[in-house]
Amino acid sequence: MTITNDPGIWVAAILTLAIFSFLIKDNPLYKLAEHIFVGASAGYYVVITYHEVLVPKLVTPLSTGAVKDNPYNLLLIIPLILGIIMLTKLSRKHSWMARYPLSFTVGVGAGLGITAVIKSDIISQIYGIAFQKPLWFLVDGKFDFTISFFNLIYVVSVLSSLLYFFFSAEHKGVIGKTARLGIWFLMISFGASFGFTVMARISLLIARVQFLLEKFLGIMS
Amino acid sequence: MKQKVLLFSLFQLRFYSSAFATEAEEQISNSFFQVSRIPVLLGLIILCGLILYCIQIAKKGQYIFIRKIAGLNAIDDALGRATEMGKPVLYVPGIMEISDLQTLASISILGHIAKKTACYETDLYVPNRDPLVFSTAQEVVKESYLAAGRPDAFNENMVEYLTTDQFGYVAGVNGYMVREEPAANFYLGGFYAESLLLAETGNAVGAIQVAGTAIPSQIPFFISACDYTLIGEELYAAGAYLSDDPRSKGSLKGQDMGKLAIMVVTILLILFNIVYNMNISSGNDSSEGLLGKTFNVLESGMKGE
Repeated sequence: MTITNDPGIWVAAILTLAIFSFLIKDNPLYKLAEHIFVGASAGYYVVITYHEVLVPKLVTPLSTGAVKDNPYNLLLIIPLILGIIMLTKLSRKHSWMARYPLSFTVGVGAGLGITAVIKSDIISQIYGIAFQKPLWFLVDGKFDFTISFFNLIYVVSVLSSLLYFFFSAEHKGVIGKTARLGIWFLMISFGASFGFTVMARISLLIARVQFLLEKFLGIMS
Repeated sequence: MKQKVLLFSLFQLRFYSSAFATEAEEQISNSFFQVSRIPVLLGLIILCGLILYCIQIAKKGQYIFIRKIAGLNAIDDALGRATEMGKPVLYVPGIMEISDLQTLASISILGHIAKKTACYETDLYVPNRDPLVFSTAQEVVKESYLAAGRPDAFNENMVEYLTTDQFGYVAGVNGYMVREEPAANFYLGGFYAESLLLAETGNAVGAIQVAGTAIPSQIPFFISACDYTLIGEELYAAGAYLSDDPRSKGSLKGQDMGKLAIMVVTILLILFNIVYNMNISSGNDSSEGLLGKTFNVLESGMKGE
Protein backbone atom coordinates (compact mmCIF):
# COMPACT_ATOMS: atom_id res chain seq x y z
CA MET A 1 0.00 0.00 0.00
CA THR A 2 1.47 3.33 -1.12
CA ILE A 3 -0.57 6.38 -0.21
CA THR A 4 -0.33 8.98 -2.94
CA ASN A 5 1.55 12.27 -2.52
CA ASP A 6 -0.62 14.04 -5.10
CA PRO A 7 -2.45 16.84 -3.22
CA GLY A 8 -5.26 16.85 -5.82
CA ILE A 9 -6.06 13.20 -5.11
CA TRP A 10 -5.85 13.85 -1.35
CA VAL A 11 -8.44 16.63 -1.65
CA ALA A 12 -10.69 14.46 -3.87
CA ALA A 13 -10.41 11.50 -1.47
CA ILE A 14 -11.14 13.59 1.64
CA LEU A 15 -14.15 15.20 -0.07
CA THR A 16 -15.40 11.77 -1.21
CA LEU A 17 -15.18 10.46 2.36
CA ALA A 18 -16.82 13.62 3.68
CA ILE A 19 -19.76 13.12 1.32
CA PHE A 20 -19.98 9.42 2.30
CA SER A 21 -20.10 10.47 5.97
CA PHE A 22 -23.68 11.62 5.27
CA LEU A 23 -24.60 7.92 5.40
CA ILE A 24 -24.00 8.02 9.17
CA LYS A 25 -25.69 11.36 9.79
CA ASP A 26 -25.43 15.04 8.94
CA ASN A 27 -22.14 16.40 10.29
CA PRO A 28 -19.81 19.42 9.89
CA LEU A 29 -17.56 17.52 7.48
CA TYR A 30 -20.48 16.81 5.16
CA LYS A 31 -21.63 20.42 5.47
CA LEU A 32 -18.17 21.62 4.44
CA ALA A 33 -18.03 19.25 1.45
CA GLU A 34 -21.57 20.16 0.46
CA HIS A 35 -20.87 23.89 0.43
CA ILE A 36 -17.60 23.43 -1.47
CA PHE A 37 -19.42 21.21 -3.97
CA VAL A 38 -22.31 23.62 -4.52
CA GLY A 39 -20.13 26.74 -4.68
CA ALA A 40 -17.35 25.28 -6.80
CA SER A 41 -19.76 23.71 -9.29
CA ALA A 42 -21.71 26.98 -9.68
CA GLY A 43 -18.46 28.86 -10.33
CA TYR A 44 -17.22 26.14 -12.66
CA TYR A 45 -20.34 26.39 -14.83
CA VAL A 46 -19.93 30.16 -15.12
CA VAL A 47 -16.44 29.66 -16.56
CA ILE A 48 -17.64 26.84 -18.84
CA THR A 49 -20.52 29.00 -20.06
CA TYR A 50 -18.18 31.87 -20.85
CA HIS A 51 -15.53 29.84 -22.68
CA GLU A 52 -17.67 27.22 -24.41
CA VAL A 53 -20.86 29.13 -25.18
CA LEU A 54 -20.64 32.90 -24.95
CA VAL A 55 -17.28 33.32 -26.71
CA PRO A 56 -17.69 30.73 -29.52
CA LYS A 57 -21.44 31.18 -30.06
CA LEU A 58 -21.95 34.89 -29.45
CA VAL A 59 -18.79 36.99 -29.29
CA THR A 60 -16.84 35.35 -32.13
CA PRO A 61 -19.77 35.09 -34.60
CA LEU A 62 -20.58 38.78 -33.98
CA SER A 63 -17.05 39.92 -34.72
CA THR A 64 -16.68 42.03 -37.88
CA GLY A 65 -15.04 39.36 -40.00
CA ALA A 66 -17.52 36.65 -39.07
CA VAL A 67 -20.50 38.89 -39.86
CA LYS A 68 -19.02 39.73 -43.28
CA ASP A 69 -18.63 36.02 -44.05
CA ASN A 70 -22.10 35.13 -42.80
CA PRO A 71 -24.64 37.97 -42.41
CA TYR A 72 -27.07 35.57 -40.67
CA ASN A 73 -24.83 35.92 -37.63
CA LEU A 74 -26.45 39.30 -37.04
CA LEU A 75 -29.50 37.34 -35.82
CA LEU A 76 -27.48 36.72 -32.67
CA ILE A 77 -28.15 40.32 -31.67
CA ILE A 78 -31.69 39.20 -30.75
CA PRO A 79 -30.57 36.73 -28.06
CA LEU A 80 -28.01 39.27 -26.90
CA ILE A 81 -30.75 41.82 -26.35
CA LEU A 82 -33.03 39.26 -24.68
CA GLY A 83 -30.21 38.24 -22.38
CA ILE A 84 -29.45 41.86 -21.50
CA ILE A 85 -33.14 42.45 -20.71
CA MET A 86 -32.87 39.66 -18.15
CA LEU A 87 -30.44 41.85 -16.27
CA THR A 88 -33.30 44.24 -15.49
CA LYS A 89 -34.10 41.75 -12.72
CA LEU A 90 -31.44 43.59 -10.78
CA SER A 91 -33.68 46.64 -10.59
CA ARG A 92 -36.90 46.46 -8.59
CA LYS A 93 -38.41 49.19 -10.78
CA HIS A 94 -37.65 47.56 -14.13
CA SER A 95 -37.72 43.88 -13.19
CA TRP A 96 -41.07 43.45 -15.01
CA MET A 97 -39.15 43.71 -18.31
CA ALA A 98 -37.44 40.40 -17.59
CA ARG A 99 -40.78 38.66 -18.00
CA TYR A 100 -40.68 39.14 -21.78
CA PRO A 101 -37.55 37.10 -22.48
CA LEU A 102 -38.80 34.55 -19.95
CA SER A 103 -42.17 34.28 -21.72
CA PHE A 104 -40.32 33.96 -25.01
CA THR A 105 -38.24 31.11 -23.61
CA VAL A 106 -41.25 29.28 -22.18
CA GLY A 107 -43.20 29.70 -25.44
CA VAL A 108 -40.34 28.51 -27.62
CA GLY A 109 -39.71 25.58 -25.27
CA ALA A 110 -43.34 24.48 -25.32
CA GLY A 111 -43.62 24.92 -29.10
CA LEU A 112 -40.49 22.96 -29.88
CA GLY A 113 -41.41 20.35 -27.29
CA ILE A 114 -44.80 19.62 -28.84
CA THR A 115 -43.44 18.62 -32.26
CA ALA A 116 -40.69 16.56 -30.65
CA VAL A 117 -43.24 14.74 -28.49
CA ILE A 118 -45.50 14.02 -31.48
CA LYS A 119 -42.57 12.54 -33.38
CA SER A 120 -40.89 10.56 -30.60
CA ASP A 121 -43.75 9.67 -28.27
CA ILE A 122 -46.60 9.20 -30.71
CA ILE A 123 -45.56 8.49 -34.29
CA SER A 124 -42.48 6.43 -33.42
CA GLN A 125 -44.51 4.48 -30.86
CA ILE A 126 -47.30 3.77 -33.34
CA TYR A 127 -44.70 2.71 -35.91
CA GLY A 128 -43.03 0.43 -33.38
CA ILE A 129 -46.21 -1.28 -32.29
CA ALA A 130 -47.97 -1.53 -35.67
CA PHE A 131 -45.04 -2.28 -37.99
CA GLN A 132 -42.20 -3.64 -35.89
CA LYS A 133 -44.33 -5.92 -33.70
CA PRO A 134 -46.83 -7.41 -36.18
CA LEU A 135 -49.44 -9.72 -34.69
CA TRP A 136 -49.08 -11.99 -37.71
CA PHE A 137 -45.33 -12.42 -37.58
CA LEU A 138 -43.69 -14.15 -40.53
CA VAL A 139 -40.46 -16.13 -40.49
CA ASP A 140 -39.39 -17.14 -44.02
CA GLY A 141 -42.87 -16.25 -45.23
CA LYS A 142 -44.62 -18.47 -42.66
CA PHE A 143 -46.62 -17.59 -39.55
CA ASP A 144 -44.61 -17.82 -36.31
CA PHE A 145 -46.86 -18.41 -33.31
CA THR A 146 -44.33 -17.72 -30.51
CA ILE A 147 -43.18 -14.31 -31.73
CA SER A 148 -46.75 -13.36 -32.68
CA PHE A 149 -47.91 -14.27 -29.17
CA PHE A 150 -45.25 -12.08 -27.53
CA ASN A 151 -46.11 -9.28 -29.93
CA LEU A 152 -49.75 -9.64 -28.85
CA ILE A 153 -48.70 -9.15 -25.20
CA TYR A 154 -46.71 -6.11 -26.30
CA VAL A 155 -49.71 -4.61 -28.11
CA VAL A 156 -52.12 -5.33 -25.24
CA SER A 157 -49.71 -3.80 -22.72
CA VAL A 158 -49.30 -0.60 -24.73
CA LEU A 159 -53.02 -0.11 -25.38
CA SER A 160 -54.10 -0.97 -21.82
CA SER A 161 -51.40 1.27 -20.33
CA LEU A 162 -52.55 4.10 -22.58
CA LEU A 163 -56.09 3.57 -21.35
CA TYR A 164 -54.90 3.99 -17.75
CA PHE A 165 -53.98 7.57 -18.63
CA PHE A 166 -57.53 8.47 -19.64
CA PHE A 167 -58.56 11.13 -17.15
CA SER A 168 -61.94 12.17 -18.47
CA ALA A 169 -63.49 8.70 -18.19
CA GLU A 170 -64.28 6.98 -14.93
CA HIS A 171 -62.26 3.80 -14.45
CA LYS A 172 -65.21 1.44 -14.08
CA GLY A 173 -66.42 -1.59 -16.01
CA VAL A 174 -64.41 -2.56 -19.09
CA ILE A 175 -62.34 0.65 -19.00
CA GLY A 176 -61.55 0.08 -15.33
CA LYS A 177 -60.49 -3.53 -15.85
CA THR A 178 -58.37 -2.70 -18.88
CA ALA A 179 -56.77 0.23 -17.06
CA ARG A 180 -56.05 -2.10 -14.13
CA LEU A 181 -54.30 -4.46 -16.52
CA GLY A 182 -52.38 -1.47 -17.87
CA ILE A 183 -51.12 -0.47 -14.43
CA TRP A 184 -49.96 -4.07 -13.87
CA PHE A 185 -47.94 -3.91 -17.05
CA LEU A 186 -46.54 -0.54 -15.98
CA MET A 187 -45.54 -1.88 -12.56
CA ILE A 188 -43.80 -4.89 -14.12
CA SER A 189 -41.82 -2.58 -16.40
CA PHE A 190 -40.97 -0.31 -13.45
CA GLY A 191 -39.71 -3.32 -11.51
CA ALA A 192 -37.43 -4.32 -14.37
CA SER A 193 -36.25 -0.74 -14.77
CA PHE A 194 -35.57 -0.49 -11.01
CA GLY A 195 -33.29 -3.53 -11.05
CA PHE A 196 -31.47 -2.32 -14.13
CA THR A 197 -30.85 1.16 -12.71
CA VAL A 198 -29.76 -0.18 -9.31
CA MET A 199 -27.06 -2.13 -11.12
CA ALA A 200 -25.91 1.08 -12.80
CA ARG A 201 -25.81 2.87 -9.43
CA ILE A 202 -23.74 0.09 -7.91
CA SER A 203 -21.25 0.53 -10.72
CA LEU A 204 -21.01 4.24 -9.75
CA LEU A 205 -20.24 3.25 -6.16
CA ILE A 206 -17.67 0.74 -7.36
CA ALA A 207 -16.00 3.51 -9.37
CA ARG A 208 -15.65 5.71 -6.26
CA VAL A 209 -14.35 2.82 -4.13
CA GLN A 210 -11.91 1.96 -6.90
CA PHE A 211 -10.70 5.56 -6.91
CA LEU A 212 -10.08 5.42 -3.16
CA LEU A 213 -8.31 2.07 -3.31
CA GLU A 214 -6.26 2.62 -6.46
CA LYS A 215 -5.50 6.31 -6.74
CA PHE A 216 -5.50 7.25 -3.07
CA LEU A 217 -4.34 4.21 -1.13
CA GLY A 218 -2.50 2.52 -3.98
CA ILE A 219 -3.82 -0.88 -2.90
CA MET A 220 -5.06 -2.03 -6.29
CA SER A 221 -3.60 -1.16 -9.65
CA MET B 1 -29.24 37.92 -4.32
CA LYS B 2 -27.85 40.22 -7.02
CA GLN B 3 -25.00 37.79 -7.60
CA LYS B 4 -27.52 35.03 -8.23
CA VAL B 5 -29.40 37.19 -10.69
CA LEU B 6 -26.18 38.03 -12.52
CA LEU B 7 -25.31 34.36 -12.62
CA PHE B 8 -28.61 33.30 -14.13
CA SER B 9 -28.48 36.19 -16.63
CA LEU B 10 -25.22 34.74 -17.86
CA PHE B 11 -26.89 31.37 -18.30
CA GLN B 12 -29.80 33.11 -20.02
CA LEU B 13 -27.40 34.56 -22.60
CA ARG B 14 -25.97 31.09 -23.06
CA PHE B 15 -29.44 29.65 -23.73
CA TYR B 16 -30.40 32.27 -26.27
CA SER B 17 -27.09 32.25 -28.11
CA SER B 18 -27.08 28.47 -28.52
CA ALA B 19 -30.74 28.40 -29.60
CA PHE B 20 -30.33 31.13 -32.18
CA ALA B 21 -26.99 29.85 -33.49
CA THR B 22 -28.64 26.49 -34.23
CA GLU B 23 -31.61 28.24 -35.79
CA ALA B 24 -29.38 30.34 -38.06
CA GLU B 25 -27.45 27.24 -39.15
CA GLU B 26 -30.70 25.33 -39.83
CA GLN B 27 -32.02 28.19 -41.93
CA ILE B 28 -29.04 28.00 -44.23
CA SER B 29 -28.70 24.26 -44.55
CA ASN B 30 -32.28 22.95 -44.67
CA SER B 31 -35.10 23.30 -47.12
CA PHE B 32 -38.28 25.03 -46.04
CA PHE B 33 -40.60 22.01 -46.13
CA GLN B 34 -39.65 18.48 -45.19
CA VAL B 35 -41.97 15.88 -46.66
CA SER B 36 -40.86 13.30 -44.10
CA ARG B 37 -42.39 15.41 -41.35
CA ILE B 38 -45.91 15.41 -42.82
CA PRO B 39 -47.10 12.81 -40.25
CA VAL B 40 -45.92 15.16 -37.48
CA LEU B 41 -47.86 18.02 -39.07
CA LEU B 42 -50.99 15.86 -39.38
CA GLY B 43 -50.62 14.69 -35.79
CA LEU B 44 -50.20 18.27 -34.63
CA ILE B 45 -53.29 19.45 -36.54
CA ILE B 46 -55.45 16.58 -35.26
CA LEU B 47 -54.32 16.91 -31.63
CA CYS B 48 -54.52 20.70 -31.55
CA GLY B 49 -57.91 20.57 -33.31
CA LEU B 50 -59.30 18.15 -30.72
CA ILE B 51 -57.90 20.18 -27.83
CA LEU B 52 -59.26 23.48 -29.20
CA TYR B 53 -62.67 21.87 -29.83
CA CYS B 54 -62.85 20.53 -26.26
CA ILE B 55 -61.74 23.87 -24.82
CA GLN B 56 -64.59 25.55 -26.72
CA ILE B 57 -67.07 23.01 -25.32
CA ALA B 58 -65.77 23.55 -21.79
CA LYS B 59 -65.97 27.33 -22.17
CA LYS B 60 -69.62 27.00 -23.14
CA GLY B 61 -70.21 25.49 -19.74
CA GLN B 62 -70.37 21.75 -20.47
CA TYR B 63 -69.34 19.69 -17.44
CA ILE B 64 -65.99 17.93 -17.90
CA PHE B 65 -65.51 14.89 -15.71
CA ILE B 66 -61.99 14.22 -14.43
CA ARG B 67 -61.29 11.05 -12.49
CA LYS B 68 -59.60 11.12 -9.10
CA ILE B 69 -55.80 11.13 -9.07
CA ALA B 70 -54.63 9.99 -5.64
CA GLY B 71 -51.25 11.73 -5.85
CA LEU B 72 -52.84 15.10 -6.50
CA ASN B 73 -55.41 14.72 -3.75
CA ALA B 74 -52.50 14.08 -1.41
CA ILE B 75 -51.01 17.52 -2.08
CA ASP B 76 -53.51 19.27 0.16
CA ASP B 77 -53.06 16.64 2.90
CA ALA B 78 -49.29 17.11 2.78
CA LEU B 79 -49.60 20.90 2.98
CA GLY B 80 -52.05 20.57 5.88
CA ARG B 81 -49.62 18.32 7.72
CA ALA B 82 -46.76 20.79 7.24
CA THR B 83 -48.95 23.61 8.55
CA GLU B 84 -50.01 21.65 11.61
CA MET B 85 -46.42 20.72 12.41
CA GLY B 86 -45.15 24.27 11.77
CA LYS B 87 -42.49 22.93 9.43
CA PRO B 88 -41.56 24.09 5.92
CA VAL B 89 -42.60 22.68 2.57
CA LEU B 90 -39.90 21.74 0.06
CA TYR B 91 -40.69 21.93 -3.65
CA VAL B 92 -38.17 20.56 -6.15
CA PRO B 93 -39.13 21.41 -9.76
CA GLY B 94 -36.82 18.82 -11.30
CA ILE B 95 -33.47 19.33 -12.93
CA MET B 96 -34.55 19.93 -16.51
CA GLU B 97 -34.54 23.22 -18.38
CA ILE B 98 -37.52 25.54 -18.66
CA SER B 99 -38.14 24.34 -22.23
CA ASP B 100 -38.91 20.85 -20.93
CA LEU B 101 -42.64 20.13 -20.78
CA GLN B 102 -42.31 18.42 -17.39
CA THR B 103 -40.79 21.56 -15.93
CA LEU B 104 -43.64 23.63 -17.33
CA ALA B 105 -46.16 21.23 -15.78
CA SER B 106 -44.26 21.40 -12.50
CA ILE B 107 -44.26 25.20 -12.49
CA SER B 108 -48.02 25.11 -12.94
CA ILE B 109 -48.38 22.88 -9.84
CA LEU B 110 -45.95 25.12 -7.95
CA GLY B 111 -48.36 28.03 -8.47
CA HIS B 112 -51.14 26.04 -6.79
CA ILE B 113 -48.93 24.95 -3.89
CA ALA B 114 -47.57 28.47 -3.35
CA LYS B 115 -51.12 29.83 -3.11
CA LYS B 116 -51.88 27.28 -0.40
CA THR B 117 -48.69 27.97 1.56
CA ALA B 118 -49.47 31.68 1.35
CA CYS B 119 -52.96 31.09 2.77
CA TYR B 120 -51.74 28.72 5.49
CA GLU B 121 -48.70 30.91 6.31
CA THR B 122 -46.43 27.90 5.85
CA ASP B 123 -42.78 28.31 4.82
CA LEU B 124 -41.98 27.25 1.28
CA TYR B 125 -38.53 26.54 -0.14
CA VAL B 126 -37.90 26.02 -3.88
CA PRO B 127 -34.26 25.22 -4.76
CA ASN B 128 -33.43 25.34 -8.48
CA ARG B 129 -30.81 23.83 -10.71
CA ASP B 130 -31.57 25.80 -13.87
CA PRO B 131 -31.25 29.60 -13.79
CA LEU B 132 -34.25 30.12 -16.09
CA VAL B 133 -36.41 27.76 -14.05
CA PHE B 134 -35.28 29.70 -10.97
CA SER B 135 -36.42 32.97 -12.49
CA THR B 136 -39.75 31.54 -13.66
CA ALA B 137 -40.40 29.81 -10.34
CA GLN B 138 -39.66 33.04 -8.50
CA GLU B 139 -42.18 34.94 -10.63
CA VAL B 140 -44.82 32.22 -10.20
CA VAL B 141 -44.42 32.05 -6.42
CA LYS B 142 -44.51 35.84 -6.17
CA GLU B 143 -47.70 35.96 -8.28
CA SER B 144 -49.28 33.21 -6.19
CA TYR B 145 -48.62 35.06 -2.94
CA LEU B 146 -50.09 38.17 -4.53
CA ALA B 147 -53.15 36.25 -5.75
CA ALA B 148 -53.63 34.76 -2.27
CA GLY B 149 -53.64 38.29 -0.84
CA ARG B 150 -50.38 37.75 1.06
CA PRO B 151 -47.65 39.63 -0.87
CA ASP B 152 -46.09 40.55 2.48
CA ALA B 153 -45.46 36.86 3.21
CA PHE B 154 -43.38 36.44 0.06
CA ASN B 155 -39.67 36.32 0.61
CA GLU B 156 -37.18 36.28 -2.29
CA ASN B 157 -35.10 33.63 -0.53
CA MET B 158 -37.98 31.18 -0.79
CA VAL B 159 -36.89 30.46 -4.34
CA GLU B 160 -33.17 29.93 -4.75
CA TYR B 161 -30.68 29.00 -7.41
CA LEU B 162 -28.21 26.43 -6.07
CA THR B 163 -25.96 25.17 -8.85
CA THR B 164 -26.23 23.74 -12.35
CA ASP B 165 -24.17 20.70 -11.40
CA GLN B 166 -26.55 17.76 -10.94
CA PHE B 167 -24.97 16.22 -7.86
CA GLY B 168 -23.93 19.55 -6.38
CA TYR B 169 -27.62 20.41 -6.51
CA VAL B 170 -28.54 17.14 -4.80
CA ALA B 171 -25.97 17.79 -2.05
CA GLY B 172 -27.49 21.22 -1.43
CA VAL B 173 -31.11 19.98 -1.34
CA ASN B 174 -30.22 17.00 0.87
CA GLY B 175 -28.37 19.32 3.24
CA TYR B 176 -31.48 21.49 3.48
CA MET B 177 -33.65 18.46 4.19
CA VAL B 178 -31.56 17.12 7.07
CA ARG B 179 -31.17 20.55 8.66
CA GLU B 180 -34.63 22.07 8.22
CA GLU B 181 -36.60 18.78 8.25
CA PRO B 182 -39.47 19.86 5.99
CA ALA B 183 -42.77 18.12 6.71
CA ALA B 184 -43.83 17.87 3.06
CA ASN B 185 -41.59 17.31 0.06
CA PHE B 186 -42.71 17.65 -3.55
CA TYR B 187 -40.54 16.35 -6.36
CA LEU B 188 -42.38 17.22 -9.53
CA GLY B 189 -40.72 17.59 -12.92
CA GLY B 190 -37.93 15.93 -14.86
CA PHE B 191 -35.51 13.86 -12.76
CA TYR B 192 -32.60 11.59 -13.45
CA ALA B 193 -30.02 9.97 -11.17
CA GLU B 194 -30.84 12.28 -8.28
CA SER B 195 -34.40 10.98 -7.84
CA LEU B 196 -33.59 8.26 -5.31
CA LEU B 197 -30.96 10.39 -3.52
CA LEU B 198 -33.58 13.07 -2.86
CA ALA B 199 -36.50 10.76 -2.12
CA GLU B 200 -34.48 8.53 0.21
CA THR B 201 -33.24 11.50 2.25
CA GLY B 202 -36.76 12.92 2.44
CA ASN B 203 -38.00 9.56 3.60
CA ALA B 204 -35.27 9.42 6.26
CA VAL B 205 -36.30 12.79 7.73
CA GLY B 206 -39.92 11.61 7.92
CA ALA B 207 -41.47 13.99 5.41
CA ILE B 208 -44.64 13.12 3.53
CA GLN B 209 -43.53 12.94 -0.09
CA VAL B 210 -45.37 13.46 -3.35
CA ALA B 211 -43.38 12.89 -6.52
CA GLY B 212 -44.10 12.93 -10.22
CA THR B 213 -42.07 12.59 -13.35
CA ALA B 214 -42.41 11.40 -16.92
CA ILE B 215 -38.91 9.89 -17.01
CA PRO B 216 -39.73 6.15 -17.03
CA SER B 217 -36.43 5.03 -15.47
CA GLN B 218 -36.94 7.24 -12.39
CA ILE B 219 -40.58 6.46 -11.63
CA PRO B 220 -39.71 3.17 -9.83
CA PHE B 221 -37.46 5.03 -7.39
CA PHE B 222 -40.16 7.51 -6.55
CA ILE B 223 -42.72 4.73 -6.17
CA SER B 224 -40.45 2.93 -3.72
CA ALA B 225 -39.41 5.94 -1.63
CA CYS B 226 -42.38 8.36 -1.79
CA ASP B 227 -45.89 8.24 -0.38
CA TYR B 228 -47.58 9.19 -3.65
CA THR B 229 -46.24 9.20 -7.19
CA LEU B 230 -47.69 10.78 -10.28
CA ILE B 231 -46.85 8.48 -13.16
CA GLY B 232 -45.94 10.14 -16.46
CA GLU B 233 -49.02 11.73 -17.97
CA GLU B 234 -50.56 12.33 -14.55
CA LEU B 235 -47.96 15.05 -14.05
CA TYR B 236 -49.17 16.87 -17.15
CA ALA B 237 -52.80 16.45 -16.08
CA ALA B 238 -52.11 17.98 -12.68
CA GLY B 239 -52.44 21.60 -13.83
CA ALA B 240 -55.96 21.00 -15.12
CA TYR B 241 -56.89 18.77 -12.20
CA LEU B 242 -55.94 21.36 -9.60
CA SER B 243 -57.44 24.27 -11.48
CA ASP B 244 -61.08 25.30 -11.84
CA ASP B 245 -60.34 26.90 -15.18
CA PRO B 246 -62.64 25.38 -17.85
CA ARG B 247 -59.92 25.88 -20.49
CA SER B 248 -57.54 23.62 -18.58
CA LYS B 249 -60.19 20.96 -18.10
CA GLY B 250 -61.22 21.22 -21.75
CA SER B 251 -57.59 20.85 -22.76
CA LEU B 252 -57.32 17.68 -20.68
CA LYS B 253 -60.46 16.29 -22.30
CA GLY B 254 -58.98 17.17 -25.71
CA GLN B 255 -55.79 15.29 -24.84
CA ASP B 256 -57.89 12.26 -23.92
CA MET B 257 -59.63 12.49 -27.28
CA GLY B 258 -56.17 12.61 -28.85
CA LYS B 259 -55.22 9.42 -27.01
CA LEU B 260 -58.41 7.78 -28.25
CA ALA B 261 -57.51 8.80 -31.81
CA ILE B 262 -54.02 7.34 -31.32
CA MET B 263 -55.52 4.05 -30.12
CA VAL B 264 -57.91 3.88 -33.08
CA VAL B 265 -55.12 4.62 -35.60
CA THR B 266 -52.86 2.04 -33.92
CA ILE B 267 -55.56 -0.66 -34.00
CA LEU B 268 -56.36 0.10 -37.65
CA LEU B 269 -52.69 -0.11 -38.63
CA ILE B 270 -52.28 -3.36 -36.67
CA LEU B 271 -55.28 -4.87 -38.48
CA PHE B 272 -53.93 -3.66 -41.82
CA ASN B 273 -50.55 -5.22 -41.04
CA ILE B 274 -52.23 -8.54 -40.13
CA VAL B 275 -54.13 -8.59 -43.44
CA TYR B 276 -50.95 -7.76 -45.36
CA ASN B 277 -48.87 -10.46 -43.63
CA MET B 278 -51.65 -13.06 -43.93
CA ASN B 279 -51.75 -12.31 -47.62
CA ILE B 280 -48.02 -12.91 -47.91
CA SER B 281 -48.13 -16.12 -45.86
CA SER B 282 -50.93 -17.46 -48.08
CA GLY B 283 -48.50 -17.22 -51.00
CA ASN B 284 -49.62 -13.94 -52.57
CA ASP B 285 -46.59 -11.70 -52.89
CA SER B 286 -48.53 -8.49 -52.98
CA SER B 287 -45.65 -6.03 -52.72
CA GLU B 288 -46.50 -4.69 -56.21
CA GLY B 289 -50.26 -4.68 -55.67
CA LEU B 290 -52.46 -2.02 -54.07
CA LEU B 291 -52.13 -3.64 -50.63
CA GLY B 292 -48.34 -3.72 -50.86
CA LYS B 293 -48.04 -0.17 -52.13
CA THR B 294 -50.35 1.13 -49.39
CA PHE B 295 -48.33 -0.79 -46.81
CA ASN B 296 -45.06 0.71 -48.08
CA VAL B 297 -46.47 4.25 -48.08
CA LEU B 298 -47.83 3.87 -44.55
CA GLU B 299 -44.66 2.27 -43.23
CA SER B 300 -42.28 4.82 -44.72
CA GLY B 301 -44.60 7.65 -43.64
CA MET B 302 -44.67 6.47 -40.04
CA LYS B 303 -40.95 5.82 -40.10
CA GLY B 304 -40.37 9.41 -41.19
CA GLU B 305 -38.63 8.62 -44.49
